[in-house]
Amino acid sequence: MQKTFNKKKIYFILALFILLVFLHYLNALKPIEKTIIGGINKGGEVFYNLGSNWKPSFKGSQEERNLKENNENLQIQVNELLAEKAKWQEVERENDKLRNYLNFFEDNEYNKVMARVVASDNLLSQNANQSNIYLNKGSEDGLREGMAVINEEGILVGKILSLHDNSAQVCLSINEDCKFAARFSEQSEAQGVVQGSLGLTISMNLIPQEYDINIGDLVVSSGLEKNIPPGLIIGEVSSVSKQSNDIWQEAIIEPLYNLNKIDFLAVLTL
Amino acid sequence: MTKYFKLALQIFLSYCLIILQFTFISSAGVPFNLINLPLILLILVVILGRKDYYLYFAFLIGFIFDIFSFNIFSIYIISFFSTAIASRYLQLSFFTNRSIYSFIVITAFATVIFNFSYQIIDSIFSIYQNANSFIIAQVWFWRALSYKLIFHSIIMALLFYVVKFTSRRLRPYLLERK
Repeated sequence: MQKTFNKKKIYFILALFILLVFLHYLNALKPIEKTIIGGINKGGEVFYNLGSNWKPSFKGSQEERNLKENNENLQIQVNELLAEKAKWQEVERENDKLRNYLNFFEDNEYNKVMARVVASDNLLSQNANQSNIYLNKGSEDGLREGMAVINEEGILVGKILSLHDNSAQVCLSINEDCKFAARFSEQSEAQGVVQGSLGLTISMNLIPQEYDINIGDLVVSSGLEKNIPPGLIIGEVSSVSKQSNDIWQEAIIEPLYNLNKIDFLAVLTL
Repeated sequence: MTKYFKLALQIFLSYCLIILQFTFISSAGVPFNLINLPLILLILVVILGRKDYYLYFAFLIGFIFDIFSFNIFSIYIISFFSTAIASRYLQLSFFTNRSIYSFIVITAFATVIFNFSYQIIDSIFSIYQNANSFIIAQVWFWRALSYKLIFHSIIMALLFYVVKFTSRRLRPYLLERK
């Protein structure tokens, strides 16, 4: 085994590194980059759902174990049928989802680009409170930074943070760095900015005390942001923090989408 | 010809592993999504790989990571490359015997070096982009690092036994007197 570093090779790789950085910023690597991202997008279409299906099944593993014990004998008999059924259910679920999108877009005249979620954050951004996801569509498909991303029910899930030619980074509304201009649907004059909190919920600060905010009130986009239309549901109020000696009150908002079930999303291109 | 075919196959397999990392592992729940398979494979290549193959491998996975990520380009190349060199130095200087303990200690060091180098470079670049506070000073960073250390050590221990039983690379060299 060699006992020292091969300095020549290290210098060669450093030179290669500097060359690649230059070529990247000169956009000379675009074709290679597009091919590599395209491959990851294709992989994401297959593996992303597998990974996110694994997540809830881990959470409920104890419950599942108990159920499995009780139903073991029955399950052996119906396993084949279940496998068949699961396959059709997946198709049905996708159909329902796409039909819901169709209904939503028939009711509202938005232009949209449908995209599939192919990855989510772990290594790409190591901050636990930055929940970002990655779509398989990018600037070539007409997406622009700041565009609203909604689910099949028309609920605002996040907005486009940055773009490659064929992929996009979306910050979810629960992300601390993701902010939206919002208002309460019942009291349109009660406006403010909502911001993700701890990667779990959304908070709305600086609401004047004069407004009577109740648990269950809907919070929607106000339309003050350039690429986000008004009236998209952000979430519903789950708690209100109001002190009589304060000038402002704060509302905690529960997002109305399930993070584990995000696979198809629509980007509103307006 | 065989040499180039082998190289192409290795590049393709590394690419597949990275796809798996981005798509499958990233979508799994916390703390499983903290596992970094390409990093573990890199350490294995550092310890068992021939000659300076690990340098090219570190460069390749860093490059693919950089292309897909939305961070500043080069952050992953630098992180993987510095991790590879530091791990190699540790192996050549301190952990020369190819025991399971050496494997685990090098993996643990590599995990720490990778995460620190990534966060430090990220923090330096973030200064110019409406930065958050210094991430290394935050609790979640250390919590995530602990999970990574545990997972990576377990996976490396498993890989050690896989290599031990499937390859000759970990068998001791004995000189026989004839």
